[in-house]
Amino acid sequence: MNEQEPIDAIDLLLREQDAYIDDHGFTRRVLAALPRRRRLSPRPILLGAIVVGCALAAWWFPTSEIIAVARLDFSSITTASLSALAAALAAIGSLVWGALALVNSEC
Amino acid sequence: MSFSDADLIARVLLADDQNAFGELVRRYQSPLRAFLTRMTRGDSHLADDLAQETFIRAWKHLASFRGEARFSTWLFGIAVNEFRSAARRRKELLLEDLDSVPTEAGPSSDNQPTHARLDLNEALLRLTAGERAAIVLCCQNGLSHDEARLVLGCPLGTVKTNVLRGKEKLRRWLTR
Repeated sequence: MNEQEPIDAIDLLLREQDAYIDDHGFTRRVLAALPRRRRLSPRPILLGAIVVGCALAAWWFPTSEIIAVARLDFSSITTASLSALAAALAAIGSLVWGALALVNSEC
Repeated sequence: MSFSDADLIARVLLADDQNAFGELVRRYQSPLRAFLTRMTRGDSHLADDLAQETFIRAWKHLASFRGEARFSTWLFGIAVNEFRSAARRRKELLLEDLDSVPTEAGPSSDNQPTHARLDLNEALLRLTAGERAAIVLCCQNGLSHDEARLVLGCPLGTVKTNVLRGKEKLRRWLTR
């Protein structure tokens, strides 16, 4: 209320007339009419992550080192190639994670 | 256990919790519908439609509520905008703007039959829309003049004048 004004008979009368209006299903009708909120979908982000993961995996995948390991030719494996192998495995991991997350988001 | 408005709003924003929003609707449906019924000159069906639109608009734009004013003040502001839009669509609803200050001898100021003693509802309907809005917001719903200024989007002086003139008219009509 406004402190600067004294409460007079008109104020009291107005407050008396301010009766509570029963809900009578109003809230239910409002809730039924509420639109769905639009949320940012994770799908484009996940698809982007998968594409980037695929590109990195293809770029870094140390095919020659894999072949050397397969032939038990350990002399041709260097520290740099091991780093590339680790990076490629990380890229593959992100690819798998992205794909699983995408599948889960569709469930 | 009763949650505060802020708690309920947070639940709506974080989890799209319709039950929390339902609690807000239950909490404020009565004053909002009463206000809109007064503004629509007793058309309770139109008032309910406007109140429903008000809550739907509040749901859509809840993220823009900054908590600088009370939630009820924010809701009344939306309701006034809904009323103005409806009044523009249905020209018979609103004969003058809400933020106008009537002249002393305005169309609804004092040309009432002197033999009849009006009841409050009838007397409220005879006020200008600006006076009625200011009276209902400040005297019935307990908004301060400053809150009513925010709701009605008009200068503080206009709100004060409308409250004073409106109450003076009511006093005159009701004591005849």
